[in-house]
Amino acid sequence: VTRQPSFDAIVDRCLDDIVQGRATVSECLERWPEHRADLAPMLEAAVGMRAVPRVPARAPDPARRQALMIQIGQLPQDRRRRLIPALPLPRFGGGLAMRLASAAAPVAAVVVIAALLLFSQTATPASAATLTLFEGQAEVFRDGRWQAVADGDHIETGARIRTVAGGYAMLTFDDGSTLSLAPGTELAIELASFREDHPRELVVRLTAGRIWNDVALDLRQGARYEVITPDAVVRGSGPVFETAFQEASTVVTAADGYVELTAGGQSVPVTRGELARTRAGVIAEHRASDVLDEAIIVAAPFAATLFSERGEATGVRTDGTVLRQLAGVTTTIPGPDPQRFNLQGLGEGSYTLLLQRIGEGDGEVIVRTNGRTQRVPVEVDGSARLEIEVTGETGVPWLRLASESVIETDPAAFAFRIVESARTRNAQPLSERPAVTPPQRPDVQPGPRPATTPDAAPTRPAPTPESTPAVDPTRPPQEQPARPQRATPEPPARGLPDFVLRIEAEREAFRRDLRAALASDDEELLAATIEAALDEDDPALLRTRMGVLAQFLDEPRMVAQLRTLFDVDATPGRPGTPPGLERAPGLLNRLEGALEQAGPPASRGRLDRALGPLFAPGRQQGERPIMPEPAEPEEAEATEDRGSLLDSLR
Amino acid sequence: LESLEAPRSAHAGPAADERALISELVRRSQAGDAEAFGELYDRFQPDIVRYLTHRVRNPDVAEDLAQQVFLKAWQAIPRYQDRGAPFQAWLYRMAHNQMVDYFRTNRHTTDLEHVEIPEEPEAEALVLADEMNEVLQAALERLSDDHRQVLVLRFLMEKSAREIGEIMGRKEVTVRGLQMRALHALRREIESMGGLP
Repeated sequence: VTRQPSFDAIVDRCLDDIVQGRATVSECLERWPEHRADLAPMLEAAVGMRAVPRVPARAPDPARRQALMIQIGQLPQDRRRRLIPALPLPRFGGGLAMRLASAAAPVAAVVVIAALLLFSQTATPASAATLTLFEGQAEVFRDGRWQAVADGDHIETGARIRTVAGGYAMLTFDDGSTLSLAPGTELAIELASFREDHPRELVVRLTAGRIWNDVALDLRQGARYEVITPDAVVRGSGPVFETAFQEASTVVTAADGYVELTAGGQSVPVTRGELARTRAGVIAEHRASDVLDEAIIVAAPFAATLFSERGEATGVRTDGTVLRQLAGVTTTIPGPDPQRFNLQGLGEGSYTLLLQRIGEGDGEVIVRTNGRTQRVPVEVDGSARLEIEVTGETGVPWLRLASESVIETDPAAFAFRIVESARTRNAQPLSERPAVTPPQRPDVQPGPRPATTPDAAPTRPAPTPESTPAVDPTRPPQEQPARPQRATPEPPARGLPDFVLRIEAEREAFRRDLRAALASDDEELLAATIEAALDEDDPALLRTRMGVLAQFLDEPRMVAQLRTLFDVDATPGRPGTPPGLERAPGLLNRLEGALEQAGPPASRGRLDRALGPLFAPGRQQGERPIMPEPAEPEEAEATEDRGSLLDSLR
Repeated sequence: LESLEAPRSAHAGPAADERALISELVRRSQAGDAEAFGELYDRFQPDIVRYLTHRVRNPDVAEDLAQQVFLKAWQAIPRYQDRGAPFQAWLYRMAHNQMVDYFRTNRHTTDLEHVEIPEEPEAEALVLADEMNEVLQAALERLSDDHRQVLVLRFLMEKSAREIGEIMGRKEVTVRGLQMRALHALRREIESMGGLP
């Protein structure tokens, strides 16, 4: 007896043959002529399905896989609740009701605990960050599509967010870290965990565009802040840096602190003012960044905030709240040192500097740009503003004062858009902080209107009797006077990568030494401190110290002392000898050597610019600096070095 | 007839090994081993993405939905029990549910630009394939969810009736009946739209 296959089995077989290419529709119909009429329409429809384009199978995207692994590392699994074993229930002799009650009690307790566990799991951080939308639009990918989000919306962990053309947005995380998104940026918050009893963990995946990261410091062991791009990972624990992924290349620029860029199995530390770039998945470039690197210093008893036209603000409110919304700018808090805005990569446009009075007296705003210094007196009773422009007329952005003097203004006209976070909650009112040091202006005569002013000659302080003797190059090293011994730097805390700990400790130690030397008014000590700092083989440490030195050279007092030390004003324009060399012989060579050794250092550009006015007091913009002339054959090489340094100062 | 009823055990050896390996990976994943789950992801994510791409017709959305599927799978895998169906059937069901959720909260998008069309040597053939594709996609959109699912799995994912049964949680014979009805329904829809070009 032959068993006739069912019709659905015949159809299935035909479909198999057709799908696999083993038979055509005609062949199938010929094979089953008795079912031809029923088979034909189905098989034709099946053949029609072949017109639908196939989706090729592809291996999982490594970036998505990595993202998944990170997420599941933080995602608890749903464990089956264990059944409660039978409990030997005591007999109370109270009858059935009592026995039921005693049996129900542990069950009820378990139910309550299970419910608590359940709710505690579902309550794990839904919101990772709060969105501030300054201009344009931002969208979040939810439920399978992009949806517009509004200012103040909460963005959850795992969400993808993007700014559409013209959109400027910022994410504020609970620990106060902020992340500013340039237009055309897309990222995903892979992981965001902020708990008091646990180190901060924040992982962001940047797929396109540019973000400005201002990371709240968390020195606990295991603290993480990572930006993952398609070809690199950027790690930092408390710095300010910019990460961009454009044209298949990751670019990292550090504005403050240190970050580590890892790509292609290689890692490099990127320090303040440095840039590192990947190409084809490997680190291809590591050099000084060429972005705007200028400063605005508020040497006056005012809390200052810099506003963009879009309403982004970076600065300090009188209640101590620090705003960090402008990409390309960092600020210090006014205290014993004047408030200072470091500008690195601030975009072109108009900005307003709002000054809110926090103490008695007057002062000035110092704008340093392209090696020039502009000073604007601040002599108002209340609050004031100063209009500033960043232009790119010459191809390189630079600052320009749009108003010649400060204008009295009502601070209520300025909207501070602040998202509450750990940083704002812990803000210390400025009234509780040490007062702003009255501005020291030994080297400038305040004028009624701002002007580019070369630093004037200060009076030379007399060396103290117990000062360290100067280094004499004619004597062998063992006969040289002892250099100031710096205390072994103490790492600030655990939790940061070793190189960051080491560099941060060195940075602090040198800053402390330099400040002490500066405060002592001891020129030889200052020279010896600088010399000792340059005696370093590790390029990273050398770069760090050069960066600190460059920062100090922005301070008028430091410049004044160095100018005095190097006899800059006592020997103006003496041909053949760079000023000051006879007092601190070798220092310039050491600086040059250090610059070469550390190069291409981040600080070189700043140091060059800072040294320019120092060694060329009468030089105006565009003029050639004082050039040394090789006099003695044996000094020719050193003089050539000095010449190349001075050449670079032009 | 013998070939119709032949047991599908020609490759029982390697298939059994594969199944044992997957069982082991599942067991380790259930114990919280993320690496083991990563291996499951490597094995099954491409198929899940393909399936979702055919259903939502947008590769980006499909990738995102697949990511959600695997996140949910990680959470739920301790509760997974092997009842004879392969593990991927469980994943497909999760993907299907994810997709249903997606359609529940979103309107259908027919972003044909995102679907890769195989390159044809001649432009005319390409245009024709494109037109046929449009008609077929529109017809598929009008089908019931079951019909659409069985056709996608059968013809676009090239799964057998048995595999479809495992994925859909139905008997093989039921799937055969279902695919017949789905093909009839598809033909009706195509005819109602004027037929294929």
